[in-house]
Amino acid sequence: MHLSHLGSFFWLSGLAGHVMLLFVLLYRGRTRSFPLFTALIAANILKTTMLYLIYPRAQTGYSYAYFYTYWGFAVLDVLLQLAVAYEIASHVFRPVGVWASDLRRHLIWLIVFSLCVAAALAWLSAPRTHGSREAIVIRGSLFSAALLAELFVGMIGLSVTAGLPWKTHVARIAQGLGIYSVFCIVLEAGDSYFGMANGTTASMILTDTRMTVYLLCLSYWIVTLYRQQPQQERLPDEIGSYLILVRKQTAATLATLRGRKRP
Amino acid sequence: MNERLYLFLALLMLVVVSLIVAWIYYHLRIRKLYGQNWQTILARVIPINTGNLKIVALDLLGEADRLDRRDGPCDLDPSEIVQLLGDLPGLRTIERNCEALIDLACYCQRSYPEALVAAEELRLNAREIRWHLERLDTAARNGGSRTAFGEYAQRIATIYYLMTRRLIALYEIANAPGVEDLQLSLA
Repeated sequence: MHLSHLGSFFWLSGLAGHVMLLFVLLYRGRTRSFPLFTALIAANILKTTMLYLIYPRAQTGYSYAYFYTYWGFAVLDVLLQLAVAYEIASHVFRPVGVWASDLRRHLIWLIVFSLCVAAALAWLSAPRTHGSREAIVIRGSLFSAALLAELFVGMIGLSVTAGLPWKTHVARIAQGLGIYSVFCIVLEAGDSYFGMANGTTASMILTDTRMTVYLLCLSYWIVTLYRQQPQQERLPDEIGSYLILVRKQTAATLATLRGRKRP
Repeated sequence: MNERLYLFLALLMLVVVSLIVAWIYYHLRIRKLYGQNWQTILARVIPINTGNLKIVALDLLGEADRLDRRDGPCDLDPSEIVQLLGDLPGLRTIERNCEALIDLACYCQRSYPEALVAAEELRLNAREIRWHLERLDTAARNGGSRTAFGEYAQRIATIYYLMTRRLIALYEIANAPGVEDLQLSLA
């Protein structure tokens, strides 16, 4: 195992990017709004540091330690990305603290449909590998990339159709993860077709492309999450009381209306 | 083996192209929606006969704008309701207006975070009207009875009427810009 100059650059810039993003999240107080996204970034810093420490031992014959650490963190990464998808959904589809009643069924269908399509893609792929362990890894990566991309695009579609607005920072996180996931579907399919043996030209191109796209997303998050949201207007105090009254009246009237039959 | 590979590539292409097309389409819709100010959204509201709408709504609600009598007067026949509302084309106009009201609720949520609850209920009411209209469409296609048609049409009209009343009152009290335009469009 030998790390090229470009590989070292990606490794270092990835670590620097994650540290900068974590600093931005803490400095701007975004951790309260996005605790799971913050956990995802912190896990990435931990992963890079641990792999850096294990890497010299991997070159002296302990490659299994590197392999299991790498894929252990990859599984954690996917779980945290799914958790971030949930975090984004709860920001968009729970505008008043409860899941929008008109969208619950649609959200469940979106999850079921995304799972089916991702599973079909993973099942149909026939990875060119010698071992079943690598085949499972490739299929798992393709499944998670497809699932995440479908969920992010589906959530955007549902929110636009239902008329639910996106807050600026929620939209930026979703855009970054969504674009990266769409790219990942193609890259994982490439891994499946060409195999993922280290050192081959195809494997190196795919890895470099993935890292380039990810670094671009990371830079996008650093800039957009550092910026403040557009200033929003504040309603006078008496309007707040009126809104509560209107809400109660509307709820009571419509509840009666819905249960009413013509004589 | 080759067949499986072709199937995989076909599904992969379908998924990736669909995701990219959907992404671009919804992104353009978001840009269009967020680029609108509240006057341009309101300009999409198609004038409807508000007098007839009020007659149909108050027939179900009662004079005091609320359901104060459990059994209600409900003097109008289903055929009269359908006639007053302009049959299915009239309800289609209400549906198109609801799309504008959903965008208005979305605009309100973005501009006034404190109006979130009222805006969310406005959005849910508009969605409920669309849901009733979908059921009416199905009933019309399957040759459903005029009585059921009139009942759903009256509910649609009443919910729409209540939405417009509350929206106007909200903007009047908030002294929000464009309240006169809103009154002209919806009153």
